[in-house]
Amino acid sequence: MNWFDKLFLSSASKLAAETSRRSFIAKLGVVAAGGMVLPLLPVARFGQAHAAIPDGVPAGWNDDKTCDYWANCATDGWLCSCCGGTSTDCPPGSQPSPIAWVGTCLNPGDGKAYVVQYNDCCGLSACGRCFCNRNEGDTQKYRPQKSNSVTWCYGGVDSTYHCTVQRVIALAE
Amino acid sequence: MAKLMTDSNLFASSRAARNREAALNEGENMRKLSASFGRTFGLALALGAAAHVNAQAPTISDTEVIARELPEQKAGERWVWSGDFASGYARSVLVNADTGEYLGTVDTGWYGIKPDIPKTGDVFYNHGVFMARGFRGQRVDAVEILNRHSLNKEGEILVPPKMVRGWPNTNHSALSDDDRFLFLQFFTPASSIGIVDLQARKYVGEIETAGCAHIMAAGPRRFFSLCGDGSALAVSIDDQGQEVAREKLQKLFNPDKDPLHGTGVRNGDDWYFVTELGDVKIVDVSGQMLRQKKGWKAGEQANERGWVPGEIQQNLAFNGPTNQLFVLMADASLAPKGGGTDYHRQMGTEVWVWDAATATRTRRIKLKDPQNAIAVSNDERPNLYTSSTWAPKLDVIDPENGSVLRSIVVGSTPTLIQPVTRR
Repeated sequence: MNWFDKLFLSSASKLAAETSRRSFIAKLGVVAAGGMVLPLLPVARFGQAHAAIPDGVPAGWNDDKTCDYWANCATDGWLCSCCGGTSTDCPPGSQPSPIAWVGTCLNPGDGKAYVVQYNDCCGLSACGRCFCNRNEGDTQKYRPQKSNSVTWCYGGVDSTYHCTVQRVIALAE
Repeated sequence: MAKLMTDSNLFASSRAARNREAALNEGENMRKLSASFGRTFGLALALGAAAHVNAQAPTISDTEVIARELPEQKAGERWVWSGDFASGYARSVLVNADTGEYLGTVDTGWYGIKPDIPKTGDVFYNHGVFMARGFRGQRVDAVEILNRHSLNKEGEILVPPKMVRGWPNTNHSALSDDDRFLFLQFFTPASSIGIVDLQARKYVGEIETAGCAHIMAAGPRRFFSLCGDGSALAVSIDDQGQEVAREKLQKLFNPDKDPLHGTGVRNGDDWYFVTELGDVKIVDVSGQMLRQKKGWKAGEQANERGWVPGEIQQNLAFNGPTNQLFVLMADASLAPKGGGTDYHRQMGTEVWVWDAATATRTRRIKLKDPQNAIAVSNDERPNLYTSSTWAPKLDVIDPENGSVLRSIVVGSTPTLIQPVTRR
């Protein structure tokens, strides 16, 4: 576990254990909302010229329309890029949930790990295309900030799940 | 017979008509005779056809269409509820595992979990999410009260719109040991437990369980939950459903190195869990304080590969009469991938059977297909049930030899399996 994860996990767990639920939600919302407005870091696409790609890395590691895309490492759901949206934006007619879970994914292009935020797009039927079930670093529900087995449609959007987008929000190390 | 009599009368009438027509003038007679012959010949053909049909005549119904009630579950019959995630708007279907007969259906709402079935009485419950405009609109969460004979809804208890959603788990709702209260997992994503008084048929309130998840009953007025710091949190309530005490069983598991799966199964006062690497953890709820009993290692690993419990929905089952723990197992790589480990989410390919008294493995059952839910019937010669979210069937397996006795179609996306205790 890297320092950012430890920091996030430690602070979130402490927050959860020591503060009221309402306060926890409010602060989690701030964290998630803050993450959403961060500009996309210039790390999403690296060519093979920048670094040697290790053996075993799937061919689609740099194609954000595929499950093999490196930043989809903690996804469990339908990829919005197959549903009328993109890998980072929700499809038309859906509602982006402001509450997110996070993962830490290794980018084979530069060999560095990045913190990735996953948001569900809500208010429509399940997209049903490009199911992606990678679950790397997924946690049990008693550590919800990295748990992808729940439907993350919260914060004022409708409760039904359509698909998932991801955004790279920070360098992890 | 009544039908034949009617046809004979018709034939006699046609003959009389023909005789009357013979008395008419010749031209008119010829035309009418021809027409009469046609009618008579047609009637004869019809009579022959009617006689043929009458041999297979259906029962003539004079009753209204009704909805059947469930038959009584006979001694020795094993019934099972199987959840179906479907497109998200879920349901549970009831089947007879010994015959494969499909017995009935209850819709469980968006991301429905499972029916909660008390030991006595004529009703059972479903904690569901409902949307006013299909996929959108006002959300209403309710505990539905369902008749166990007709499967009809008898009433509902409105609860706050906080039900946990996503892949269901067996411990997302629980009845108190005396069936008086229903405990509900809320997730917003902060965690709390909703309390419903089933006797008064009213929602009581919620109990803060921040940092913890899953609900296990631990007496008539107590439940416990698993926590992110590796402890188990027990909360006691009074007869009004209000919290009166809480205590923690510390260091039940290591949440950083080997987290505990959320599926728990019960045998008497003992709750069995398993860690992601396969250590069996036992929580004894017989005393005033929760107590950890000695477990055992059910996993096998070497060189970053090995057998670990599969999936997160329902990877454990317990058969009381034979005192056996069943663990769904997967042969997985334990090496962290780019984002961390994922072996806790692998589908199971074997079921390992353990004698809980001696902590010895008695059998390894190889599964025909990868599965992510298991359960066993609660009798001395049990059925093993398995299902996969990705195949629309429930497999009924003889755990003695691993043979699939039958596969029952139970919906598009099977989730949790819940054997029915016969009354």
